[in-house]
Amino acid sequence: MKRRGRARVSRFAVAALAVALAIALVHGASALCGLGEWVGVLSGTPVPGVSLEVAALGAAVHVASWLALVVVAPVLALAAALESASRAVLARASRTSSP
Amino acid sequence: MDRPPDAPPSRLARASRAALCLAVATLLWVPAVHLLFEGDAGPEGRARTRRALLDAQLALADDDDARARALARMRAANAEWDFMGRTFLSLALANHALDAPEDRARALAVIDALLEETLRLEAAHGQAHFLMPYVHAGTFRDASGRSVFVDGELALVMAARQRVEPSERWRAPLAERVARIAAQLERGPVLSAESYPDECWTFCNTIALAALRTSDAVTGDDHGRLLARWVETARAELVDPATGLLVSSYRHDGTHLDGPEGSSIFLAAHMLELIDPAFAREQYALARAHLGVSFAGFGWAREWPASWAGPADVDSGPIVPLVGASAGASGMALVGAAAFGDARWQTALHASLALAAFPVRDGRGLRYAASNQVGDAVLLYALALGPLWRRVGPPPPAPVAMGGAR
Repeated sequence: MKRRGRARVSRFAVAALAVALAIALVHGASALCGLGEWVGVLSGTPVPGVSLEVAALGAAVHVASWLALVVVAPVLALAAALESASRAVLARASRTSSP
Repeated sequence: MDRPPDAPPSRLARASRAALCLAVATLLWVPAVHLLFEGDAGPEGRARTRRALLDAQLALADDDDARARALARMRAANAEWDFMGRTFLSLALANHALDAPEDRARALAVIDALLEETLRLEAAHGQAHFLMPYVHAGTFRDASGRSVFVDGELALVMAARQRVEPSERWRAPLAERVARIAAQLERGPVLSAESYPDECWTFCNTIALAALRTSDAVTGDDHGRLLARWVETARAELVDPATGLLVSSYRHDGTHLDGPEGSSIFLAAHMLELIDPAFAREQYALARAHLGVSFAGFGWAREWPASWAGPADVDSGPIVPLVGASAGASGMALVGAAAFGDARWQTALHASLALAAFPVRDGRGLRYAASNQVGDAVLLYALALGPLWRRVGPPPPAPVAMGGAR
């Protein structure tokens, strides 16, 4: 019977990288949609042709996705790397200690 | 039951390891994020930012259509911003003219054009053109019926222009404006003039005081006694007991309205440098302590101190939940930090600016998407200030009461 091997990358690492990528995609889409110009509402400046409520929502998406891209995504990527490295180290230690 | 040595780790062990990795990654990354945004926070970076902001502001001044759109966008929220954008750009240009003599003629030409246009608009539409609509909701207590918001900033710009290079064009208008302000201050029960009916603002009154001092440096007049009495009165009547900071607004009789606010006090402290440097530094230090925040290499300012529950308003801009950051207060904090040589906080504030104000660099220069023309002009002023105040010089020693002695 073929023995089932352990995956080289954990589900956590895959999930963390997927979320980091999703954050980058959301922010990219937000920038492509022009929401970057709506952040003027942060200074109380209206966006021409857009109601304050809609502009505030668009700006919130852009700001939140930007902050997530700068702070959260790198943390997730770094954590995925750390987790994969720790798995490799533990696996090696386990192999060396096996009789 | 014992687990075999080569069994895969339990779900709990996997979750614990993931949580530990997340914690370590957070501890490694978060304190380092600011390094990504400090590229322009040092002296050379600030000089580049100043040049790029200046280029963008000058390009806007030359482009009638773009300028009309920018002003219309600001006036839709607050007509004051139209006026203040002119003031801060002119003050930045006055400083730049002193700092870069090769640009002086161009800078003075822009200041002159802004002054001409502003005076024309004031003459055509009255001071209300640059004020919020509630100016019509009451009657000024002072018989002149004038707003020191408009008179003070116009006088300061004229005086700054004259201090850079005197022009006959502005001699009489400056003298007239200064005489009006001085008379209005003298008539006030707490030596303050109204910006709106029965509403005095520390922001506007300290600008007016700086205008008198700058004008004195140009003309040789001496308003020293009035200025010293203003500080004495402010210390006694206009200080918030909880913080020691000057309140931001008050009635004509001195009754406090709003408590200290970040969008006023940092600039007020900078203006007071020309009047009473010790008081100015004391106010800055208190503002820094009560309103300044630093975290993980970033800096920002709150609009209200912990002891005062105030709302977000047109001056503060929206207040960021949890951290309490205010765009208006943080912009003015850059002026304060630059004026008082608070280098560490200045770097942290610039890092926040690069992170959260969304800089846009294009063929015209630099602007901030989260800001507007007046915001960018304030940032430019924060990067340019210094030469003008040095040219005005420190206030003369306070007059000593000599009694009958000879």
